[in-house]
Amino acid sequence: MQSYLNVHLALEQLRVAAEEKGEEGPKVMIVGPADVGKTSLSKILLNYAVKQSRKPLFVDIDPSEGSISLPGTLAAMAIGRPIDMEDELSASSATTGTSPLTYYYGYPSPLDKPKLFNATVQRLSTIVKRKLGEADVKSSGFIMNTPSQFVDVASYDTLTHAIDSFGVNAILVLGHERLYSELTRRYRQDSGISIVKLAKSGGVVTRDKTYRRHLQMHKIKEYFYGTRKGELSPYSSLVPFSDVAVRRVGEGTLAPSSALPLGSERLLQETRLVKVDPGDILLHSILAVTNASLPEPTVTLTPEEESAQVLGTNIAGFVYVSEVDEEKAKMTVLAPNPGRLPRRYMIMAALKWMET
Amino acid sequence: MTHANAADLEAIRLEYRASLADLTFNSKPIITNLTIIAQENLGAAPAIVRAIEDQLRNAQPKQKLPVLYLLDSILKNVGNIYISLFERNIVRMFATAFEVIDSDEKQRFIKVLLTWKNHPAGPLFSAGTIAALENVVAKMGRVAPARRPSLGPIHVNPNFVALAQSVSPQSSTPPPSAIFPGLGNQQKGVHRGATDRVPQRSPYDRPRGSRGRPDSSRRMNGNIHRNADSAHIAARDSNPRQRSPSSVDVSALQHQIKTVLAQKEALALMNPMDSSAVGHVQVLTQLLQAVQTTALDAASIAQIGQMLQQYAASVHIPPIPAAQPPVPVLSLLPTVASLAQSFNFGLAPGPSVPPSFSTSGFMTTQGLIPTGAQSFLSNPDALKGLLGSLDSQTNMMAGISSSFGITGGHGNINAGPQSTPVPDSTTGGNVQSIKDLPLIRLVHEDLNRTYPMAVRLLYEALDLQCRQCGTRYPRNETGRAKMDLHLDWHFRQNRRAKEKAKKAISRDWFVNEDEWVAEREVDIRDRKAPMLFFDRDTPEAAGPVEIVSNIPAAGEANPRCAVCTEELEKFYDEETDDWMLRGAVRVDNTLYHQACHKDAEKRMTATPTATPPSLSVSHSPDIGKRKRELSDEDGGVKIKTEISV
Repeated sequence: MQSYLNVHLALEQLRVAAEEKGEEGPKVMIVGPADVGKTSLSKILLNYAVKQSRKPLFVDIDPSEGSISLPGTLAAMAIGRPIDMEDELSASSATTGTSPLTYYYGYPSPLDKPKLFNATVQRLSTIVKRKLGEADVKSSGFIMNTPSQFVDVASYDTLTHAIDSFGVNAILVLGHERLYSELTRRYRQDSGISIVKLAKSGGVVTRDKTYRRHLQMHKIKEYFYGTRKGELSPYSSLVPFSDVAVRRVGEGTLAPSSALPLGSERLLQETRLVKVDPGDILLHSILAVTNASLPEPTVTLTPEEESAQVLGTNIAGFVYVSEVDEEKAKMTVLAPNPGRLPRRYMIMAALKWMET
Repeated sequence: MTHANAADLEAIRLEYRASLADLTFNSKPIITNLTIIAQENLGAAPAIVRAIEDQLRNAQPKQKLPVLYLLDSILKNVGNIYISLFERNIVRMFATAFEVIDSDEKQRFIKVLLTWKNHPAGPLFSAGTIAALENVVAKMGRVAPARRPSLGPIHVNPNFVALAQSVSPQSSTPPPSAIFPGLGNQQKGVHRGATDRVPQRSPYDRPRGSRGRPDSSRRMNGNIHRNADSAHIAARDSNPRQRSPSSVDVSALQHQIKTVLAQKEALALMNPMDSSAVGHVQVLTQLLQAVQTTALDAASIAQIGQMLQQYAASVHIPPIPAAQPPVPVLSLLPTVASLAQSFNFGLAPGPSVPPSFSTSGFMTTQGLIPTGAQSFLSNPDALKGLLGSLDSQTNMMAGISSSFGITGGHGNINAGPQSTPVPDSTTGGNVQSIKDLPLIRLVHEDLNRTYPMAVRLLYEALDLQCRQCGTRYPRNETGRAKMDLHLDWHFRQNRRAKEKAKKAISRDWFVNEDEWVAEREVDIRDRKAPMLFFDRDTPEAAGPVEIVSNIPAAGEANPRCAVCTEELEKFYDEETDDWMLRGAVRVDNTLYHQACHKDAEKRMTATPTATPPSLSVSHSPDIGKRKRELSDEDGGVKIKTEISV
């Protein structure tokens, strides 16, 4: 704890300096393996900063937990009030007053779709940078929580991509010696980035898969129904298939590359959307409602244009498909708000949920 | 041992309560065991007493007796602070327990009570308490039998019994050396530290982790008094320089300090949450050390003694006639007669006395005290002025400041590693902003250092605290303004929470990127959930809202619309304090629905021959709809105004 407090003091001094010079505050990234207390450290540092009348951004690019909204998302949020121990970050914007900026990645690990992950990080960082230009958050900087897979050698590129796109200037390595030395080697010459290693939080426990899964499910439930402190009322409605445009990130059936004509290469499928025909496949899915509107019927977009437009916009929320009636071509969805579903693109990914 | 903080106390209480749960039958080992635990945790006495009181109250009638025996065992074997703590509630507890038990057990209860009254060393409790207890027994219809009391079935640890009997706490004519009983026992809790220089420490004494405090409340009165008995010898032995004519003065002074210290410690024990008592104890301990290690002349001693006397007088002790502490040593010298007097008064007469701190006593003495001393009474900081004056006295009068170098004045004393809780500028207690700290770089060495006052930055430096959520702000203009905004926010939040019962809250859709970047003050008032659902599909909202014309009912018994012949809705309007007809108009003394009349008028102008009844048929659903719309609008407007208040 002492070193955590000291990190805060150091960051606070940087913020004071930044405030005086009118620069952007410290951009901190916390990396480390699973179960070392990355999220906890982020919250500690954020709460300390908030106590000191700062308004730091919390950037969470760990899709496995989804501490800001749902698992499978990358998100950022301005923290203007202390994070509640019980509500954590999932309290509704009605109670916190802040809305998160959320992008849907849809998979628990950045290794699942590294290209899509990178593209999403890219998009998120662009907007976060714009937000850091705003006077109220500028000197406070951000604290970024990262996926535990970042310590993996395989995701080294993803890690450096994230560091570069966010312009991180302080990296806290929690309980991982090798990553620390690797990062110091990589960013040795670059004096702009300070890299510090910290001991992992005392009292962390190893969470097993079942527990993690349980946490994810809990998170989804919280999105719709709120926490005990702030209960929320979601609404169910019947939606005809014709009203929705569901997409999923390129999977589909792919011919093996050996079957392709000689000399031709596989297209970048990871960042391309494929149309999903509504049907039983949607049952129990969590669909992300994007802020990208459906085009006018007269306009037809090429798949590439559509992908860029849909993946490049943040999401407005989530709906849960609780029932599908293929005969009547209708489905029942649980939405956080009353009313009909918006005419927006929806993205489907691996996230499924059973309402209990 | 140290002053247990609230959490520790709570932990001890819970633990003790858990052990108490085993005490469902009269079991000697359990009672002995619990007595020993109580003995070893004198610091947590209030917690333990509470646990026992709870148990006595909550136990089933059949199981109350063993608890009483435990209480009795603690009173007789440990005594001390426990007696005063138990005395506070004993009458009520005894009465409640006595009420529910059967007659057989009542006899046993009475027996125990008699042992308290006729304890060989004098009554355990004050006469008033004993009388009240007897009164309880008498009231319940049973006169206490005048049997010779015996310990009955109470199990006590033979070791304790032996000790307690040889040096009984309540002996009314104790030999001077045995006034303060159970030394062997009590000194288990005695803390080292300030007593380091006192040679006659008991072999049982053992160091306790004191979390850096020079002394703590562990020291019991008995110990101090015994020290006092032979204090001058001790002083002479330990410090040859003090073998001067003033050595007795010094020892008397030490004694006096210790007396006040003991009171303060007892006070701190009784009120573990009272940090001021802790501060006092610390300063007194430092003073004691300073006196012990410094040669002083008679004048300074007299002055310090006087100040202490005034200080002691501010600690109000209810006098108890039973025990009168002797002051044989002090009476040797007439110069310290006044000290002895104050000693008499200030001394806790035997361990059974609850040295309660009385604010009123505090106030009344203030008038008698010179202004300088007044402020020194009020807080530990001011008490330190005493140390300061000690310092200056020494310097001025005798020029032996060099000998004071050991303690080097109060600054030095406090700068020791153990003195953080006392706010003191010399320890950097005034860190108000991050700039007061040295530059901390994000490198390994800097981060692993300790910055002692850093925590203050997060808490004490921001001392405007929101009572609802704990958010802190600095005590200055901007801080106050922010606090006001913050409280306003809470107010709205709470009102919203109240409304929740009526209205469900739903999660908004997240805003789009541009709005997120621009999003500023986080306030529900300014936030509009993006209306995704209605942006394309819903028609424009109906045109300008029609003004609902409500007219006074004016005593109409059965108001009906002349067009549709339906009844007009009557309601009571609190603003006009009258019965009104909703949405009605009166034309030529005939009542119409506002809508009906309008439609009728339209028809009349278009086709003057049209008859009203036909209109009513075709338009009645329309009327219903409009009504609903209007009332919806009503609701909408209402909500808006509430939010913008």
